[in-house]
Amino acid sequence: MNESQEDTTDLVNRVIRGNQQALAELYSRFRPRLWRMVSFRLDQRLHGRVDADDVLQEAWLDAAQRIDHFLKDASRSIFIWFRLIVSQTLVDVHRRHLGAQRRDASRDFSIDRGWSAQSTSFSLSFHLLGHLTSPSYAAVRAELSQQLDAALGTMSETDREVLALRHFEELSNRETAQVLELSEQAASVRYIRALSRLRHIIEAIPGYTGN
Amino acid sequence: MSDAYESYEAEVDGFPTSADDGGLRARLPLEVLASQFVDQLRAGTDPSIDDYCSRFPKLADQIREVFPMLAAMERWKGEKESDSLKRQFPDEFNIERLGNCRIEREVARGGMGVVFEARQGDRRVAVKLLPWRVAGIPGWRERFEREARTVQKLRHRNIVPVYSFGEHDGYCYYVMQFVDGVSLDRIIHRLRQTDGIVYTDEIRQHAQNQPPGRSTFAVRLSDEPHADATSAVTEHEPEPAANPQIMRDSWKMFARIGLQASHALQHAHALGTLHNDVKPGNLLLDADGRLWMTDFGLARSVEPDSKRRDDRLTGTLRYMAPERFQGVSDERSDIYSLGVTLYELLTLSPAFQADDSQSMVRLITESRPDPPRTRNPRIPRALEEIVLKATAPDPQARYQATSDCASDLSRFLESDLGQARTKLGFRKLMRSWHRFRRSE
Repeated sequence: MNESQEDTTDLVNRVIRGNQQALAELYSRFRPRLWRMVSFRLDQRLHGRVDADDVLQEAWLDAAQRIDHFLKDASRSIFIWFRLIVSQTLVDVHRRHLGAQRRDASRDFSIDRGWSAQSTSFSLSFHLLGHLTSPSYAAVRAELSQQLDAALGTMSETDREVLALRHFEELSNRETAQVLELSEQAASVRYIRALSRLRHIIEAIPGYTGN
Repeated sequence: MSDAYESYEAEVDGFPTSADDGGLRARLPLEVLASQFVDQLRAGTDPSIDDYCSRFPKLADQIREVFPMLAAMERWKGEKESDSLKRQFPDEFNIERLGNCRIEREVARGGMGVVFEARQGDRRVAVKLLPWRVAGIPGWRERFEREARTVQKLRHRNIVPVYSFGEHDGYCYYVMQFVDGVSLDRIIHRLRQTDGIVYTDEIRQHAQNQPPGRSTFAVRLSDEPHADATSAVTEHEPEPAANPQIMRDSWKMFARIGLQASHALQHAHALGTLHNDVKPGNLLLDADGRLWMTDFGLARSVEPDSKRRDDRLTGTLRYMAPERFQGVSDERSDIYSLGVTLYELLTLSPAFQADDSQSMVRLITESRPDPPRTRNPRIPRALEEIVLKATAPDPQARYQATSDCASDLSRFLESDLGQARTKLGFRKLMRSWHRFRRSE
């Protein structure tokens, strides 16, 4: 993200005049971060059928269609605007592929609660479940990762989401605040609180080896 | 018209960008520090929690509580990402052609891609397909192409030539000469077995991918320990013997491998190219004893995030020079990696051994390997000295150029050669004497 402000301003101006190429350039700058979000949140059941690049391609078409709304909708943060479009595409993709079985599985695990882009539960808990149930996993993975899997599984949706945004999606505090519709102060408080809860949960896990 | 534009410009000047410089006062001070810490982690520097504590004593307790979680989350993310990247790589490729190459079979598969044997016209080639789709990520393709073009310029008898490169369905590939050879890691593995010997027949057969039968898979499990003298003569000489072989104490063979690798690096360095990943797996030995260096920088150019390389490449970590963990590398870093490779070839044990990447990094940056002769006292002193000089933790204390390393290796070969020739002469005499006896 080392593009100059001037450069971005220039692109934004071209987008506002309806220049799709400029929009494409902006989109491609955020694409690595968007890719990270998609690949993290894509349901495992879709692997092999849909990949992050497909979703990003589809989202780009949506973004291009909404170019006229750019000035109004992206004015707080261009990245968050793209991210929102990608989230909506993700919801569509999941609905299209998993629609029927979306709600019928057991409710014991958050993974089966259905997917929303605002929720980490789909993929996070799938990671959790997948890893905790696979016997070979224990042998292969680092101890701390297992503890994290277990610990995150017991956290509240709110805590998990803020950790996911800050770490998996690499959002800044401001971006996290925008996504969660909080003030920056509230977002920073929530993040630190989630981290310290994570610490306490991990310490309570037998066999915790410190840092 | 121009007025309208001006009003647009005025409006968008306040458009926020990705920078997150505002809101500092509103944020928890601890969160601001945590963000800095994470940025440093992501940049590949190694921020110290103690350092933060002493700089911000009032927050020290909280820093100690929370910061280890930051590092843990980042590590966890690295693992999940690499899982998801690998998942996207199809298990099977139904590819008949890549560019103008007709794919014949899959030869090898690893974390860094799939290698196919293929035909390009009449030419037998190896095509390496890299495991990550670069199509979606801006900049990656350009990086790959830039690197591929640089590597294409390397022309040396000890470097596997890259003929061309291209893209297929979002995956990058490059076309190289097909080398009938075995990688050094395999040779090391074979030598490590009790009294292991690798015959060139085996190399040939491996290269042709016909699973060698037990009878020809020449593992000699003899009781007799070979004396240095035996090894010196059984090892093949410039004029290839009938069944040349590599044994655990084929010191000159090892030196010759090192020499050829130095020459390859010397050529690359002269053209301003670093290899960056010299390791046994990237050095192929063919049946004539010729060494081929491969994988110049290419794979890494499209690695999704080289800063977190250690999360997914623990195997390669072992050969990385200490300064590379500070993000610094030059010709001497390649020399170091070659030194560690030679170390492993001489001692048949890795220079450093650790259970996880963190402790590996600590070993590499904070210690140095035992002198090779403490692991095997039969290693010639001169070779040990060369390896120790190449693997000095401080780049200043190392060979400053590959040519220096090469001349020490040649000196070793020459000094030893006279001695070996005498022995070879003796051996030839014995052989002809036996023949004489048999024909009687």
